[in-house]
Amino acid sequence: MNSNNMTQDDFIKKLIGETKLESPSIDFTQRVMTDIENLSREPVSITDFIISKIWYLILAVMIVVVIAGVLYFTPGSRELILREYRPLLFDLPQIVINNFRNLFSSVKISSVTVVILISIASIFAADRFVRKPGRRSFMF
Amino acid sequence: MAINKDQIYIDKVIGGDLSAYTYLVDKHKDMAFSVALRIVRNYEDAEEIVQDAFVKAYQNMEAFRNKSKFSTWLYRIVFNAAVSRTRKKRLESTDLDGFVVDNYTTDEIKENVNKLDFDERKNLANKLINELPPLEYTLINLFYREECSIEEISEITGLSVSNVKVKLHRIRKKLYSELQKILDKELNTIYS
Repeated sequence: MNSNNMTQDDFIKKLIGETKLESPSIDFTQRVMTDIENLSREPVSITDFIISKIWYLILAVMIVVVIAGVLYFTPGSRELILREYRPLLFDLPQIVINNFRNLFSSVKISSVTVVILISIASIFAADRFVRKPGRRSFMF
Repeated sequence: MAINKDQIYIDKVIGGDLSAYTYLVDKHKDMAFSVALRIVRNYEDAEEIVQDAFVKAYQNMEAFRNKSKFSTWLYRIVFNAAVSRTRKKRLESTDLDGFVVDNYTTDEIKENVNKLDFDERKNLANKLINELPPLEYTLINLFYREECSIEEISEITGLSVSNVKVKLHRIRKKLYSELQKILDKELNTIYS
């Protein structure tokens, strides 16, 4: 920048410094702050965090692992599966109930309880796959 | 230093001190409002644009942190919002190329203006600045009043760096030309 431009710059800067900017209304700052306070007061959706998709996935995997574990590790389960196995009509509930009976024979768990547990797991699974994306779960 | 002071308040806001944002609003609202008003030419619209810009800036404060000057970022939001609202209108309504100072040197103009008293100079400056088209008004205020760099003005307005330089040069010439016209008129009035 040459000296003439620098002189012009200083002069215009001085001139502009003598002008006034436009100002918004007196309560402008207050209105902005009210907007911001309202924003910061909006509740954080904890429910969405708890019932996120990943939790459904974890729950589903856990159920599958538990059922597979019961079927595989219970004494005599493999024989029972092979005996009861029918390629076209697989009587899974009977096998599961029998195995649960064997596994928890000391605590006398009833087949009704097992059915209830499976029902709850089914509801979770149905909720996960049936509900539309973005809608809140009917479970909560 | 102004930048550091803004940064101190930005850190406070990010840390949860909401009241610290008042300082930033009070400091930058006039410049932001003047730019918006000059572009949209409507008081209510300009207020709404600036209010929204401050809220938007607050919401994105964490993401903004240390990326640039707060004022540069805020004015860019305001400028873009104002331009979007008046998309169909032309920002530049005056051909800058038509203004060339031939008859007077810078020193002569400066001397004449300095002869005026403060109020007269203030009126003259207001008249000149207020007659500038929106983009020129924005550029000249950002450069001389806010002391933004050419690069910062480029970031705010979306113009290239070289374009900002050329425009500022032309605005400077135009202002001198207009000044001289006004001074000639004043002198003619006095001596006629």
